[in-house]
Amino acid sequence: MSDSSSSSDLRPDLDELINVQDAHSALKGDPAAGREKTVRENGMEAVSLWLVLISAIVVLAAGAVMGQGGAFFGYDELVKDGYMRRPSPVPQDAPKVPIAALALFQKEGKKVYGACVACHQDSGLGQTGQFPPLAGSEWVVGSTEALSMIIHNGVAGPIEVAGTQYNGNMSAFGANLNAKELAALMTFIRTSWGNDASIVSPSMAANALEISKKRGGSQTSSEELKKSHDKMLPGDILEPDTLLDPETWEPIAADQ
Amino acid sequence: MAEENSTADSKDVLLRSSIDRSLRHPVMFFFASGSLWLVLSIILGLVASAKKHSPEFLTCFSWLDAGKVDAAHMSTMIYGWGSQAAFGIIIWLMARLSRKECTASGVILWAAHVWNAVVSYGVIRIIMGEGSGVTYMEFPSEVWPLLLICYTAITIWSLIQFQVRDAGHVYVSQWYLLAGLLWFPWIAVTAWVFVFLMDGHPLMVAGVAAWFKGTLFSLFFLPVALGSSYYLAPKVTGRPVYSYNIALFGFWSLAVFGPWAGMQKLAGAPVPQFLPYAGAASMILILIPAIAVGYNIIKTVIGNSEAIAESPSLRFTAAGIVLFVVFGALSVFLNTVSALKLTQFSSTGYGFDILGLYGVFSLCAFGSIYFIVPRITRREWLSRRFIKWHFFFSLYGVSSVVICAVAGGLSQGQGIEDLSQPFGTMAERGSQFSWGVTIAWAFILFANLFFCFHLLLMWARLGRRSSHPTLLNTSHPTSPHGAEGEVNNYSSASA
Repeated sequence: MSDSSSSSDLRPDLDELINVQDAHSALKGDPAAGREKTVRENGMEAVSLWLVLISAIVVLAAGAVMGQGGAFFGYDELVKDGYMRRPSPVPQDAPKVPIAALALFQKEGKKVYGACVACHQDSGLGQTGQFPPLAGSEWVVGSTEALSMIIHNGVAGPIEVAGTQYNGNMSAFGANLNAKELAALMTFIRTSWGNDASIVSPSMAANALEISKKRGGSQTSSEELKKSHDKMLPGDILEPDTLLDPETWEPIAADQ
Repeated sequence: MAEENSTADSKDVLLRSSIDRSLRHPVMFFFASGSLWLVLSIILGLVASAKKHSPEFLTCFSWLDAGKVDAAHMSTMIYGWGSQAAFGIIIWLMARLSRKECTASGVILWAAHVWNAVVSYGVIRIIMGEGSGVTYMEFPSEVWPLLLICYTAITIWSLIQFQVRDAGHVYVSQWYLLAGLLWFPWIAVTAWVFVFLMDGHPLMVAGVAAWFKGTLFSLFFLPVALGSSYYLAPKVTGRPVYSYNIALFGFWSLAVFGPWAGMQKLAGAPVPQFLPYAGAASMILILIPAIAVGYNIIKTVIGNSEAIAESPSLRFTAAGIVLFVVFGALSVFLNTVSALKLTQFSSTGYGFDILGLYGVFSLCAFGSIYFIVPRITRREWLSRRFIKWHFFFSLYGVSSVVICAVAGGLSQGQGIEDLSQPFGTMAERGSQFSWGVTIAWAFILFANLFFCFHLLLMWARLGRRSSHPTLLNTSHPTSPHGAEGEVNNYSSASA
């Protein structure tokens, strides 16, 4: 036992006195370093067989992954097959939602009408004195053949619309339109802004394209339209609430 | 104990004591400031995780945007806590094993202060939205050379001590520490040059950053953790390392496979196809050193369950080593070709990183800290309860973070395989798991608040003045001369 009077100041709250080797007394306040065990020589156990076996299995697993990676140091292979995929545009088994003819034609027609907006405006009112209105225009809600000729071939010279005389020059838009688009556009302008005329079916629009083809490419005039085109287009009649396939625009039965 | 041994031992003890004394200021500074950074990092991790399931959380602070918090969370974890804990362990362990006092602790202490200042500056720049945006290298470009200079000023002395050591024998821990010391500047300089200096293709930058992220763990944090456990396991149990041959095998397999890690993050990106697959293969091969080291350390300490139960250092170290084996096994699973797809844009990688950084490295570092601090402060830990709470909440917390993040990430990965669904649907699949991660970080925060508080008390030299180590699971002695009051504790105590 060491002398408690001489060492009490060094260990004020020790509950027991220490009495170990000289080393300890030399260390005074550092018992932690003193109680350490020496790290002895290493054990020399051999690498066991199962460790080698497990390592071999791991190496095989790693090799399998490497094998998927193509040629090692092959700097030309950039993308692994199967990594670039594209979702199919419509899921194969997704049900088709039928849509009423009028709603479909108005929706599609409004897209086509984007080409007309600059002159005839969103409101369909045109610009006073320059571009005739479509809303309430007898040319729009009247004979569909005349309307199709105007859209398809353009119109030049004096023309009276809704009681006002215009003298403008509308160019031909036919080159960009197929029968479906023409039908949708005509239906859209005939049924918007308070207009309430019949639907133009795709088969009617197809006939319009035929007529226009026979007629030739020049712009029409007010007189020509009144003289030879003032009639309704022949073709299948489409009721506004006929259900159509949204992609093929073919009528489908309601129970499908 | 024989007489001649006694004098040799007393010299030995004096040498140890003087080495501890020479390093006490820098090592304590590293540990204490590191633990403060760790608390900050955990709080940031909590906020970052909360934002994943409740995006409205704390949106009033623009400096806490999800991207900034995520970046600050990982940067403080790595450069605030991890690196500083590693420095403390490296300089102390290298001095002890080379049996040389440190003559440059003033320089190290200065460099440590500069390191902290530079990391603070980097974190502030991240919070201001001026981070680099490169994974694991989020600090702006100018920070990196400063950190590298500090690193040199801190660790060069350990290399010198190793060079001038007396004995020819090099202990296992020294292999790892030396390797880590030399590997770190290699990967850091390479990554810094390719990411910040060269005006390369952004894909190359992403690839180099992924490689840096992989190798920073496998070639720096892992060697330090393994070096420390190869020191503590025999030191605390008093038994030699089970097999020198297996140690060699484990070290060289890590040295061969480690440098390839990282690029698996780019699987599917238009980089040369073999690169991500070489990375994935190397991460699978990490299981080999994991099993070798795990087997060796466990064989060293097994049969000494009392020491594991009682010694905080050994308990943390053993848990860290077991988690290293888990890390290796999980790595095999996550890097198979079919699982690799699921981990690209999900939280799986985060869970895996946390398993490495907290589960493996930090637990081993805590083990070292519980061993080193009583020696350099000459005081014993105050509360076994704090240590136990630290251990159990850490272990449960990190297990929960890893399980939730990995499972949630795999679920997200399966969601992203369904190409007809929008990205948001896939991201939402992880939200319930994010709740688990948030709660688990709260547990880890609780653990580390006690650890930090405990460590700061030790730093203030308020630890117990006693010759008895603070052991877990020992009942209070019924009499002052009971089991704990054994007079000769020279060889019986083990902490």
